[in-house]
Amino acid sequence: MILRNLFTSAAAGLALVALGGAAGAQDYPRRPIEMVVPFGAGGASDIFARQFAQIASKYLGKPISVINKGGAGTIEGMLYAYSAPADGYTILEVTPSLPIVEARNSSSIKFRAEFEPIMKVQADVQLIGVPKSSPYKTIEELVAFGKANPKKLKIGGISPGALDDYIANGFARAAGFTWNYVPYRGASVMKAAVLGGELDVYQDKLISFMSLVESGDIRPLVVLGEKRLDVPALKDVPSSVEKGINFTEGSWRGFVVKKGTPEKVKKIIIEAFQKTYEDPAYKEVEKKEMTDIVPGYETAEQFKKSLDKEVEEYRAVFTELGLVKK
Amino acid sequence: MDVFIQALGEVFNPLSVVLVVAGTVFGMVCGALPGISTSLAIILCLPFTYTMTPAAAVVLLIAVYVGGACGGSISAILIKSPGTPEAVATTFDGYPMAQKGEAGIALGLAVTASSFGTIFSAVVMLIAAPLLATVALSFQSAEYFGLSLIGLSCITSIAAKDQMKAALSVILGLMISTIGIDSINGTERFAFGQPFLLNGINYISVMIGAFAVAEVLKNIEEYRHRDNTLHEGGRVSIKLMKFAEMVKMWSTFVTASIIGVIIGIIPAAGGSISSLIAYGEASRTHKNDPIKFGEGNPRGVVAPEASNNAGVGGALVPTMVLGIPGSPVTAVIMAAFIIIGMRPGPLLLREQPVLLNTVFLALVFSALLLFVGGRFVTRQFGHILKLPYPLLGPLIMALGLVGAYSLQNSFYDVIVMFVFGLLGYLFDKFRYSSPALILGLILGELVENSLRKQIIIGDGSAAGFFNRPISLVILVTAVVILVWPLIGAVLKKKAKPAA
Repeated sequence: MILRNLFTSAAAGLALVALGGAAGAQDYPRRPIEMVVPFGAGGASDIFARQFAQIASKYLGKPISVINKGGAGTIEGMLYAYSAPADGYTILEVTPSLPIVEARNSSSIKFRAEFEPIMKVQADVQLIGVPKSSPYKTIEELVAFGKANPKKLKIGGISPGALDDYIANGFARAAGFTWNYVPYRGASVMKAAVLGGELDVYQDKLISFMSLVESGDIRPLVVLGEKRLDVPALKDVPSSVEKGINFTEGSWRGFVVKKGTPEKVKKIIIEAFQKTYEDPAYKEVEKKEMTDIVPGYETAEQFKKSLDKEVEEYRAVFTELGLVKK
Repeated sequence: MDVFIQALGEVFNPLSVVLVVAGTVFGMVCGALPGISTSLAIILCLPFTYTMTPAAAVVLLIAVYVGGACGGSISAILIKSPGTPEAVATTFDGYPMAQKGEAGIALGLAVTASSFGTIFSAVVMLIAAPLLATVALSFQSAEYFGLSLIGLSCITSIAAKDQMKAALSVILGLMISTIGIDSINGTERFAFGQPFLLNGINYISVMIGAFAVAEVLKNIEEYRHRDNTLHEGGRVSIKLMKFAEMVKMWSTFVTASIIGVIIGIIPAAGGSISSLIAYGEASRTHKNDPIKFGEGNPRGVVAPEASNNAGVGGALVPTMVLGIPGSPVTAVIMAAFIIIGMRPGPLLLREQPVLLNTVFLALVFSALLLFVGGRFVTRQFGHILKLPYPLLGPLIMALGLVGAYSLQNSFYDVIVMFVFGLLGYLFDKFRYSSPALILGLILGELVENSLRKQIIIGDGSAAGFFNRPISLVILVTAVVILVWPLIGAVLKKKAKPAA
């Protein structure tokens, strides 16, 4: 019985696919849409995508199912979206990890050449701080020590060759010193290493940073960005630009579709995502995750430009680190 | 006290009761299916929590966690395919018990041990959470390294038959664990330009292959030439062990729970290591039992199951007190807390004094549910072994295949499963050890990562391993565990001619 049901639904599915292909862009969307998350389930990017998809399905009129393709450090998710037809039924979530793959030449598929931006939705600010027992009270003291003692300070991270590696080394490069990037097997172990005294410097995104700042265990030294943050507990923390360190990278999240997707379809997706972005339910999500502090929203056009700029920056830092494949 | 009463009201209202029952059952089913991990089970529940009160959401997630930690044992015992990584050690004696027709006893024991471990850890958590959280912080790279060595040294107790071949199997496992993006430098190792190798070989698909698929292959080979009455004649028993007999094993219940709590508290060590260590410990202290370990000793089921569920309460300690999740599952629970609007961290318990009590009660409640209801429901799964093997075999294969695929929705994991299925079959035939291989694979990354990290931290010096007291104690323990059975064997040999 179950088998027969399965069979009929499979047949119906096939028929739908055929129909969808024939009808083209006229009445998109005719069937559920797949959102590819190039990470495993449960991380910040996955949780964001799931919440966004739930709200967005209301505006697209069809369910959006989130599928995790976390293999090969985001490459498998990208390959999966790449191999799907360019019909708007496969939307790929993007974070800095994907342009970094391109900047490092880690995949034969060039991200910017194969995908078109839909929207950059949010930005996640990164902060740098030290444990409360640390002798460094300000970012100047930390940088001064770093300059006098190259590679002596230890900063934690979780993904060598990816975003936090870039942030740690890119920041130091912009400030004119070097330190030692030590990768951990996950954010929790890294936090424990900072609180337990194994690491000198802590970097994390705002939401994870906050609780340790409020409890007094971590002293925030600098916000990576243009301006100070509009958060009571962090109003005295200087921004990197204000201190003359021109480095503002943090994580961000957005969406792309495969190149060649009909303009009409793209327009429908963009409109629906725009409404999702403005939906009070989504604003509530951002508030809880504290991703609304620094605006991350960019239209498809702006997103395209900022991607070009970022790939150049990634490439510069990773080339120095010797992590770009020839 | 009034916070406790307030929590009572939150856990024992009609909605929460429904949620605990539903959550525990859902967790068990997901846990039993290879490939659906407890983390995924919790993520699947997340959308339902959006509209709940925070307390109800916490109750639901905790119930799923407890159910999941227990559910992995069902498939470990019945089809030799652990449903979750935490249940690897449960296969060692659980499956032989089922083969002897004692599936009901094994399943009942697993559920009882799980609920005992959960309650034990819940009590410890309630009494000593803030104190224990500081213990978590004294574990750093050096201590992780020692801990993973203890895990590795357990091979001497897991595979006592042929120590040399077991050692070779562990080494092979360690070597396989180096495939993929190197966790310190980010360089590619042994990837041969294949993107699917970048994340390394997933040990869960290896596990499904080397245990479940290999077992099916073996059965196909032997089917014609053996007595198949166990399956077709219905000698499968689903009776439970008498309570008095279980009480006799109290020492294993308690020791395993203590090990589970301690290792659970340490961030990122996780239930798979604690259950292996608890199993190793039980097999050392009871090696003179009439039924050998690895051949269906009930203690071999109790130890890993009590310890992996004790890890539940343990892992929640640093999550709630420090905002540092003690296991992959608690990392997801922490993300869920943020969605609910609570911010896990050092201030959480001060701002939400009821929370700790709510979590405690949810743990105890779901554990009691396991004990009372779960034992009777779970053992019914034992009937599956009455299926004739030509039906059961393909069923196991299908489950394994779906499980391997759903890990990352990737077909490569299925290929890995088949390759290791064949390898596991050959391993069995030539008496190499699949458990040792998997042990090496699971612990390889932790060993390498913590070793290299400690050396970076020590500016190139390895002195940190020896001048940190906890690390030194752990290292010495690891060496003793590794060498003791060998010394014991030598002593015995010397004693024999004299007698």
